[in-house]
Amino acid sequence: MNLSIVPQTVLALLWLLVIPCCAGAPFLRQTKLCTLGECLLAGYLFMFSLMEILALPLLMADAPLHILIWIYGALCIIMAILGIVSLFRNHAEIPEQIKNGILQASPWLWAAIAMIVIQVIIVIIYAHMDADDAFYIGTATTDVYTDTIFSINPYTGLAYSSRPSRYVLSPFPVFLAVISELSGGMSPAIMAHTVFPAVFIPFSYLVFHYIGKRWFRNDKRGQGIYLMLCALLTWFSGYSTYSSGNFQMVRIWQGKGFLAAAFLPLIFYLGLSIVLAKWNRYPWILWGMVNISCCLLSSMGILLAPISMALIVLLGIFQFRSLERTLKGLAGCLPSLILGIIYLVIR
Amino acid sequence: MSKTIEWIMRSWEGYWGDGLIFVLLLVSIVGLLIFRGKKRIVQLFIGYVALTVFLYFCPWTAKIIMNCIGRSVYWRVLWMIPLIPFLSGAGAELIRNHNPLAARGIIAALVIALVVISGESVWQAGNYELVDNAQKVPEDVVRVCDAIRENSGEAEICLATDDHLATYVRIYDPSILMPYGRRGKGAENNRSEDLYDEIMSGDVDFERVGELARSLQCDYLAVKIYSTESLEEIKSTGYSLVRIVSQYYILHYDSSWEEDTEY
Repeated sequence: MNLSIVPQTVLALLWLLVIPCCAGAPFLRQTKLCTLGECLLAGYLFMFSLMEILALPLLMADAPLHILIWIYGALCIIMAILGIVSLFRNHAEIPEQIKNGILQASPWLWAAIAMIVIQVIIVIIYAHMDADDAFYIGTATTDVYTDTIFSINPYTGLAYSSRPSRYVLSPFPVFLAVISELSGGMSPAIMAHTVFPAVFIPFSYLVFHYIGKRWFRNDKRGQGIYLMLCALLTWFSGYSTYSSGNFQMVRIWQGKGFLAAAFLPLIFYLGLSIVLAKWNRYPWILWGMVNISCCLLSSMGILLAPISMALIVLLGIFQFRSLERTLKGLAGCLPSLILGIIYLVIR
Repeated sequence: MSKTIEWIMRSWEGYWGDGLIFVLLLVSIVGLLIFRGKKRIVQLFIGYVALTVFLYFCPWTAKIIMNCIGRSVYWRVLWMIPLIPFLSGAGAELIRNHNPLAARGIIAALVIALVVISGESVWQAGNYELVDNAQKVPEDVVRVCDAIRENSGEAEICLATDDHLATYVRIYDPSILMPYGRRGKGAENNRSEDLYDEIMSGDVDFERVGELARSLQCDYLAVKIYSTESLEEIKSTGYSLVRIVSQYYILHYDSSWEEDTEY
């Protein structure tokens, strides 16, 4: 069903902002003074993990794309409804929190927000041409057009003689295809080039913001300066085409771009808050979900996520010398290990 | 091992580019160790950065990682360094505690200037352009695809073209099939590979292009032609000119040509 661009955009924002925000709440029901931003982070961990868990078996079973869309959409909506209930029950203080947050925001924070808004506007208006889109967005447009999952070669439109084993284990283009269809049939190219950056760039800054909140606890001025410098450093990341900041600004719609910009820093943030924290702010399940999410985003994630997590666990060993904490930390890396074994079998 | 070390160093230099961000990183690490070394989060950040850099330079782990992800992208290991959060933290520590406000403003201005000088704006790096289409593909791709669609209707068709168009055609219109995609990828047989090589060669044999495209049942060709002789060559293989769009000659295979030539 193809709607016009305005309702498509509304649906896209529903699926990329409202639903993850609600769906993340049940994971944080015991987190004190949790914020909507934290719910959004947890919601994306849920949605990405769910996509990885659903897409791979359906892909292997040659299921049509619409089956994945229905199942994924239904589960996300169910989780979002549970999340709304959880928010009302456990976090009724959130509206008051938002109001206080706005009133207490430092001028530095407003400067940071202004810079971020400018960055998002430029990314919405202007285009960056990247040849890698031939595969990633090509896969999404092809899957939508043919109602298949990674069965048709995006370069030619003909059936794969054998699926590319490295890329099928990280089916982020399938997430793009599913969200595009759930958004009233928006073109995956428009979704990737315009909507994803408009959502994913602020998401990246949200991750930086929470790292800043841990660095400068109860110091609004410090947090504001921190975020302002994050925005400035990202703005001036053009010194190298390889830097994570450059990927954030010009290629964030690609899985590896989002991995570099937001999810590797998110691993570090969750490490600070779970593995390296005396009292976990978040449940351990988020630690495992960030690994699965990174696996969805890119084959780089299958490798870099567990390495990053293992380094954090190593820091935790120095700090706590706790076997239970170490084992839990390493257990979070299991999804990558499983996918690595699957890759060795299927390649 | 020496090749591994060579790639490690090459990737390292490529990652940091022409800016002074690496110098900023070193200065930040030293500054934080001296002035904020007792702060737990600073210790964790520096510890994590140190472990990541050690892992990056360790030739044994580097070899394993290179075997997994490929040598040419080994620099992506450096994405694990939380560069922006770390530098921002260092800068914020430097700025926040100065009083009065004027002093804080001056320090902030200096830090901002340092960041601007050390880096390069992503918007000046030639990264963005303005296009008219919502899909944000090159305009000539849109014009060529629309022209072909105007001629062919809704039928599924096969198009052979050069690398520039081949990269973006199926992003814009996935109903257009191709014998190969970007950089000739997806080519399933020698004829497809030969067609790509011929179209991308410096001295194109357009008769051969037409013959190969015809053998691959390509309904359309979109190529740049610079002489009337070349156009006649390709026409002699059964392709007739539909339109010229954005310097691309759009040619359609006339199936009646084969019947005519049989007689």
